[in-house]
Amino acid sequence: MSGLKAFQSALNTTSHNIANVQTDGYSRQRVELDTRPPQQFGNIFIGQGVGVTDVQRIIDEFVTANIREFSSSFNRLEMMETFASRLENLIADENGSLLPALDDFFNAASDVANDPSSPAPRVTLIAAAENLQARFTSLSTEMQNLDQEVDRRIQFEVADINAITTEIARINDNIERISSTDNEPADLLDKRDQLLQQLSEKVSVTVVEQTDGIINVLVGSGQLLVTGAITNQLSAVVDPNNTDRLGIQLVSNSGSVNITSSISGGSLGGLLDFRDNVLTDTQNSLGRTAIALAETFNSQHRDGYDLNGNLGTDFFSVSAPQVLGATTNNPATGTPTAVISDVTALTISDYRADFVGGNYTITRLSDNAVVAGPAVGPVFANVDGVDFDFTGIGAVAGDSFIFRPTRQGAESFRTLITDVNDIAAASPIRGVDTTANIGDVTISNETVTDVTDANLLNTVTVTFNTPANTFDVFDVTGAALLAGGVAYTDGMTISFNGWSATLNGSPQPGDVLTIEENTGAATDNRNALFFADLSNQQFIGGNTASYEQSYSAMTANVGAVTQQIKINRDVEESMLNASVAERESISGVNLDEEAANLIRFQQAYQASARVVQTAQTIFQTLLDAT
Amino acid sequence: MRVSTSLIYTQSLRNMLQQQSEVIRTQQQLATGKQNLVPSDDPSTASRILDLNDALNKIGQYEENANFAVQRLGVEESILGSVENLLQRVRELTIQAGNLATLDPVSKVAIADEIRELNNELFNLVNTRDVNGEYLFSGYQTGTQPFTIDASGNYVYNGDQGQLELQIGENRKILTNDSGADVFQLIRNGNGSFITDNNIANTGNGVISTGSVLNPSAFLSDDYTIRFTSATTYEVDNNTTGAVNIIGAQAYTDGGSISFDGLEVSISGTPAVGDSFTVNASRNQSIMTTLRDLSSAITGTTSSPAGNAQYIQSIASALNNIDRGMENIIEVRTRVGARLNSIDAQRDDNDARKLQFTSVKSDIEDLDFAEAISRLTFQSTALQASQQTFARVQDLSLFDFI
Repeated sequence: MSGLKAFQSALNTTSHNIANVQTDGYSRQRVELDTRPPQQFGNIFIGQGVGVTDVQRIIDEFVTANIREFSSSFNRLEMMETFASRLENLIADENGSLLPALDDFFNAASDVANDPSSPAPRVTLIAAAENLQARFTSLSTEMQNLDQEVDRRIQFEVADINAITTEIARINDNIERISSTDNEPADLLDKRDQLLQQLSEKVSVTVVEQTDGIINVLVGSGQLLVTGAITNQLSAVVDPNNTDRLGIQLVSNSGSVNITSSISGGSLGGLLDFRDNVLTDTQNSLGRTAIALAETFNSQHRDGYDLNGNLGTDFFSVSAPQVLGATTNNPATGTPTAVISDVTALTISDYRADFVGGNYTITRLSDNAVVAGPAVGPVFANVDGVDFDFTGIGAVAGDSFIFRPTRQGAESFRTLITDVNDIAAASPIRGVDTTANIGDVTISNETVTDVTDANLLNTVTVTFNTPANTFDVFDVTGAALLAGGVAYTDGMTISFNGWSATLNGSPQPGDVLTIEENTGAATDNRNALFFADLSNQQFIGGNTASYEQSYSAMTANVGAVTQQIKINRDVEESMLNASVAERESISGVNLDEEAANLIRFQQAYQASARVVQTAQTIFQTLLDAT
Repeated sequence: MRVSTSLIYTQSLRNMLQQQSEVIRTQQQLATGKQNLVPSDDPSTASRILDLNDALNKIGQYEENANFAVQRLGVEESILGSVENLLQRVRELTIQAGNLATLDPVSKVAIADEIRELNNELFNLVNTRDVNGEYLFSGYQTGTQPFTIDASGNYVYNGDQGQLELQIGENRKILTNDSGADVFQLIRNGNGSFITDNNIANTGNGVISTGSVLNPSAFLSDDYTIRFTSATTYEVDNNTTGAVNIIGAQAYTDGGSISFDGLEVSISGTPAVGDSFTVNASRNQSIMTTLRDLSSAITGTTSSPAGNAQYIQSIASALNNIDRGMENIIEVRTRVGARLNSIDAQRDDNDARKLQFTSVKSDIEDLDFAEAISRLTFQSTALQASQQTFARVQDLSLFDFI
């Protein structure tokens, strides 16, 4: 009789296995049969048949833990790859990239130099500048969209994580109530393992098992997510330091803790990694290109002279560095400011200023190096090309600020020049060799050295004395002698009123050379030539990259990061697959095996049934015999 | 190894998906003709391609700039050619005019008229506009007519000395124009160092030669007067410094050389007492002024020994000035030619670099089609094999036999 019951259980379990052949996380089960204790009859022991001691699930805890670990790594990289590929496609797209717009702009500048008096190339230059602005705007907008999408996904992931941990806590509770030390509810354990794996796909966790079968789940640097039947929920809230981004908080009875920086692994870790490293660097790099272009082009344009007879004005504008005060700052503390003083020295890093013990410390976030302080402000001049200004903000200990010198460069890039006559293609001054001069003396290479000099446009004469080995320099407009009796040498350079010029030849007494405002010079392209040449100069990153090279290096960086992510993802994926295969090999259901078991147990069952039948026959024979 | 049923499915399926994605990738490569589809396929190559594109774009712009330069210089060169021919004709006429013995008054008038006409033509040439209606020879002031005639009949230059420079190579700029002042106006008259003339009030028929500078280091670029204190003696004053008699009371010989302050002239003919000759430092004189003075000199002088001396002096002086003008035009034309040659050389250079960059770019960017097509064939076959194996393996089940 015991055989019938035992093999019926075995058949049931086989059918349970067959039924769950496609169930995720299911571990095949096996009925543990054991010979019952024999019964003693005098000197002999007579077997009492078979008993079912346990229904065991076949698993290997180490493989399960490996799967969790590889799931975290793989899902982190998978999530990063999804976003990094999108970023890569965005900046490398042949039509959407900055490069065609940059090329067009500098070609248009070159065309203005080719034909400075004609309106057509000037119209084209302004259109190309507006197109450049549109390109910067759309690239930065797309990156902001990625940023916002990351934030939305962070919220989804956090919601999923909370749902999963709640469920784990519930199962913990059930297991605690129904399990004993010997027998564990296999299907519930499978369910919990499955949930833990799903959780580790979202975020890297540590699982600690208690002796009673209950597990605790820890996240980040050891914060309890699940303890027994209790869940501590995660929440996605504004990061107190980076107030325009979401951070992760762990909410427990004892209060909320910001654990953003200790979150690792899983799709949540991947989102944070992508946002805080890949995306931020790319946004800053594009911003730096925009700022460098605007500042260097403006500086050249201001040295020029436009068709209306005015000195050039700024061609582009970009916003000042972004400064964010931490939400935890003292409410009375103001916000410091920052200005870019040297575009060539700009990095793509953000900076953090901490006010501790009455001193400011400025930390570069890319390498966590202290770049200034600790010292008392108020101004830290020219740290990586940025002047940090804490004048009068009344910080108290613990206040901190994030400085982002380049983040908003691309989105704030604007073209200011709209009128073709405002393009300053000419040089503001010109030299004139007087026709009536007897000597053969010329003035050339008139160059503006300081466009802010108030007397730059004054008419200045160089008149040679008798004998002609000295000359006087006279400011006609300002009626002032600038220099008298200057000794003449052939090829000498003279500098006055913010310009410099070269004198050549052999003068005679009374010869006059003039420097004057360059009015009416419609075809002068001396400044426009410099515009086009700016694209060959390497201003960016400590004078190592041109605008174009800066963008292509950014593209290559994102490409390299993406490539690295893909390679690592493939590695982690194959490790994960290997672990899954190992788990399947141990715990998976094989239908052929179950078919064989079915036959085996069926035969055993039939045999047991036959024993019953035989017993009945024997019993009947006995009855009949009486 | 023990294999679970679901693993058989998932693993075969994963293989097929993997192979499918490889086939798709090869298909995309074939469709675009590119080896790398996104930067992450090969980041360093991707950035090199971008840099090469930029270099090629710049070369393209340099080519365009060079076309502009060639166009501008071509126009200037053709105008200068016309001016040179015109001056050649003026020179011939001047030589004819100088041949007093065979010249009748009617011919003189005809020659003067022709020179006047040629001067008008020259005036039009120096004020040439380009196709955009801009003046070629006014420097940067292309909206201003370079040469005008003022109330007193003098030629005035209204432009500046600006020269438009174009970038035709990474480190190569080329000047594409010359100002009217430099081409037509800033021309030293006389022999280039000094100019000789006889006094209009002279009564003798003495004629002073063009002269030359013998000792450049002693030459001062000062103005002098050679005064005849008698028919056979002369003195020299320096008018610039006001020093009189820097050479006192020298004996005059017909055609004999007179030298002072590093220069040498000679006077021939028979000067009268009180006659004087000037030796002035060269001034700038426009070609138009030279031609105007010439035409009025041809018809303006009277027929007398002194008048003939005036005439010969004027013709000689005009010839000198025309030669200076032609020298200058030829010099400018040579410079224009040299610039055109430089542009050609730079274009060759640009073309060579373009070819080189294009071929490098093609090497690293373009797909090896033969390799890609054979890869596609191989991948398709592998995919097909996986599909067939999958179907075959799925047929196998012990349940079919019990």
